[in-house]
Amino acid sequence: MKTDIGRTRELLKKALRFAQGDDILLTYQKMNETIVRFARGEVSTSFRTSSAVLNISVRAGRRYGGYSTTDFSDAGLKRAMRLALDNTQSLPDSDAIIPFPGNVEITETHLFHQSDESISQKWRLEAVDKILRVGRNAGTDASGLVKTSDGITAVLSSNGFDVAQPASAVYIRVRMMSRDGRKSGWNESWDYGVEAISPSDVAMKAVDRCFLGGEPQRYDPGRHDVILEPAAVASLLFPLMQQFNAEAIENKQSFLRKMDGSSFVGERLFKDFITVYSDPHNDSLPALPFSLDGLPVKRETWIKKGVINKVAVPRIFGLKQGKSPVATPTNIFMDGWTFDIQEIIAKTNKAILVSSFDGVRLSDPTNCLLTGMTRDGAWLVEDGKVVSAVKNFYFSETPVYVLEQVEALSFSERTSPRNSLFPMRVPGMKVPGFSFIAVTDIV
Amino acid sequence: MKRREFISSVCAGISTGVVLPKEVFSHRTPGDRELRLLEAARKSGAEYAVVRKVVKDFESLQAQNDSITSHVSYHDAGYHLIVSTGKGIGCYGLTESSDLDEDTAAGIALSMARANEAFPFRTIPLTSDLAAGSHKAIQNGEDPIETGWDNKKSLLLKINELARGHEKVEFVVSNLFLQRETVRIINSNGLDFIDTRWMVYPNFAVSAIDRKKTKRIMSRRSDTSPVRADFGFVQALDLSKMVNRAVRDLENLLDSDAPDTDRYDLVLAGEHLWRVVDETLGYHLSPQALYLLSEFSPQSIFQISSFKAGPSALSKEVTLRSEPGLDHSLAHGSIDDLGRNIKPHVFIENGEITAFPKPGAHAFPETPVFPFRADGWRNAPIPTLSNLVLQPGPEENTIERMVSGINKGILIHGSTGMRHHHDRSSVEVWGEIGYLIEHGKITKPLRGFSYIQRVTDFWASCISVGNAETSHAGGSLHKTVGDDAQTLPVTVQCPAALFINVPVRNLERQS
Repeated sequence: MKTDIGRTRELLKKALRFAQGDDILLTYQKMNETIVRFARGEVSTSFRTSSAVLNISVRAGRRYGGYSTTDFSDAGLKRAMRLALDNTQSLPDSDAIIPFPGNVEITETHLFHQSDESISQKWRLEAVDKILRVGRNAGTDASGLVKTSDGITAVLSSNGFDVAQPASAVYIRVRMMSRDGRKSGWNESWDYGVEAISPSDVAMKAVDRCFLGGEPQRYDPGRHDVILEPAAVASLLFPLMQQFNAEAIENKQSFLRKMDGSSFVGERLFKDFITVYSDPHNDSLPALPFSLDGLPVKRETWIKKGVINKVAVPRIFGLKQGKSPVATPTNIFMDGWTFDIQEIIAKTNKAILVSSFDGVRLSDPTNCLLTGMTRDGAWLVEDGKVVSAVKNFYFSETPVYVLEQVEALSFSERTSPRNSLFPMRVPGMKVPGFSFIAVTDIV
Repeated sequence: MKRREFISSVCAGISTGVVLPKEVFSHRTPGDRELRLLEAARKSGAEYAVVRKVVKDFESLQAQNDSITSHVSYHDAGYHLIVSTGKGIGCYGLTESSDLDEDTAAGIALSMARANEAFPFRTIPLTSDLAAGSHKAIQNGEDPIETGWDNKKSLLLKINELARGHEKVEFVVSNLFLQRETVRIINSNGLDFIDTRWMVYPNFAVSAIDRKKTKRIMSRRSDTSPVRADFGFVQALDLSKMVNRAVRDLENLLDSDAPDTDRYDLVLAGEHLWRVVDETLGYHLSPQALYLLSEFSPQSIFQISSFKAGPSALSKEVTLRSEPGLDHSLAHGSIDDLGRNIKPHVFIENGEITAFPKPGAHAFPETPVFPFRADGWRNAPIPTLSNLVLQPGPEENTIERMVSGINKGILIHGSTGMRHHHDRSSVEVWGEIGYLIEHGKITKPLRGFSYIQRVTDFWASCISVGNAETSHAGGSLHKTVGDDAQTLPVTVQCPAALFINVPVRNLERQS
């Protein structure tokens, strides 16, 4: 990997030598990934990809332009630089000249554990085989994927910003469907290498969720108390944290904007046990230590004991507004309590337990209203026990309400928003009066 | 054997024993990396190998009112190597600038193929219908990517100027998407297929605020769709006519009402209906839905309903076929990305499903009904649909004739918004603008409505399909297929059609 980083730096320096214009920013992303997909209990696709792309941003006078290319030959780089410069002429003058980032000291994080090449296809296929066997033995059809990857992200500017970060990841997603097509369970797991990943465990949890509570029963929609597992919390928290952004507040795209145009920064909005922070150098959940617009990502506390403590300030927006830029988080932590989610269930009279949400979309940015549905795991909890699986619900709710009303937290677990790989360590939650707007037969 | 001779013999199809004439390879050079990859695959012991090289250049521009507001362009190229050992398949995509040597790349693909042998795959029939010979298709005319910047800019600003010349138009946004994609597919059966595909897609939307009634922004989008064509195609468009039509509809929208909730006969224009065809028939005929290849998609209605046997539930007016070789179409020609020949196929003939493939693990028939295609060089090809054609009706079936026979109906133009029921068995469709039909005549413009129906009932209610003159070639750049969200656009050629007794909702009163 060190050799690869050396080559990456050589490539970027060569590209910079060919550059024209007053100011240059180069962003390079290289990725090797191997995917094995399976559906209906069989392997369906298997392929490996080695890709690399160079994004060029150029400033010429008061104009900005860009171009992306995969051609790293001398001729290809020269052509890309010329087209990037040409593109500066197509847009009107910028209202301000913002220089690209300069030299900043950034410490590499321990994101790279093993190369994709070092993981054999045999390992991936055996992982899939274990998952399919678990499915077959339980009378379910498995679908999902096993993905391994490594890559390098690097940024170089003509002003001296120069960073390169290697990374690797292993990601498994499993959905188990009962043979009659009426029940399903889902689970996913990811890590930076294969050592701690257990495909069988991932599959067994999905099977457990598929059969827990028996045949799904219809339960009327409305406001119900819910117990959200960490994956469900992650799917709500991710869009919420995207709104912790000064530019979004300015553009009326954030719940943190007040009616008078000011923001809620510094005010208490949530329960005092809610603290959310990010830290790319935390060894338990390392993440990219810089943003692609050239900002170091530092440890930041976004919500401190229920108070809105900080928002991200995009670099160009910040410099235009005279504010110090703050990078958006590349991982998310929310401290939990010492309970297992089972203990929360045991202390609950009546609630809907939700394992994950799917198709979560922002419906109204001004209050971070989200819509989506429960998927692959929703159950009725009564008198401290799961008494029945329930049919999926559509929901319409804002995580602002969830963090205002949350009553209890489980301990935090590593997770990510469904079907993606954004590093998060968040707890499960018990929340009263969560808004389910309709029941659906979709499985 | 010298390198050049070896390459020729590989590409001439050792596995078939067919030796192609030397002139077939006259354009090849030993420097072509795709040839070296094929050679390496052959040397490694693969039974069959296919290499696809894809070079894509893309450009998009946007203009709002009187200025250009966005300009994005990129270049993306690479190779995708597929090797088959006869029992297993390995796929490897590598960027054009990868510093891997060809033997190593072939070794990676082959090691995957060998490892894959031990596991049950949905078998891709790589031994049948393999293409051979030389095919070269290069478009004539002006390369859209190489077209001068001034021409592109002036085209957009011309659209905006034409629209803003109309008093009621308050905003206009125009876009131009341009693409040049050169695909070369070579296989160990002697195929050398080169296709340069230009794509152009101009579009715009005119808008105004309805200050009298709803205080909302009303918009009418252009009826254009992406097509494979040169830049001259765009320049030959009658912009003035297109803008005038959109503006006329916009002005009508500002003076329109929502219809009463009731059942109406609907005349759906081709530029509206193509997407309904794509979503309600195309989706259910796609292999992703038919074989549940997609992780979360609901199963095709053709698998779960009575379509499998018994009398047809579709109108006898409906004949739907896939057509790989359609002029200007988005899904490319007669060779798929596995290097196989693809033929046209009739899915629905006079309302009846024909040649419905059996479900199951090894379902794909020997004669490929579904081409395998991939989005660019990164992805492995997946089974998908080719272009779709809804067969036009008899010549006398004009829109005017359909309208004249209706007592109470709506003629719907314009682009489509759509919401599916969770299992896609029913659908709700919004039209951009409608015109009320009373006693055979158009009486007033309509807005704020949708029609909602079970897919099977909807297609059973079709009593007439318009003639070829009413046909519109629609197509979406952003159509995605499968779990890996590959973008595999197809063209849907669709005439107007008449549907009777369809439930229509007044959305304004409801809200």
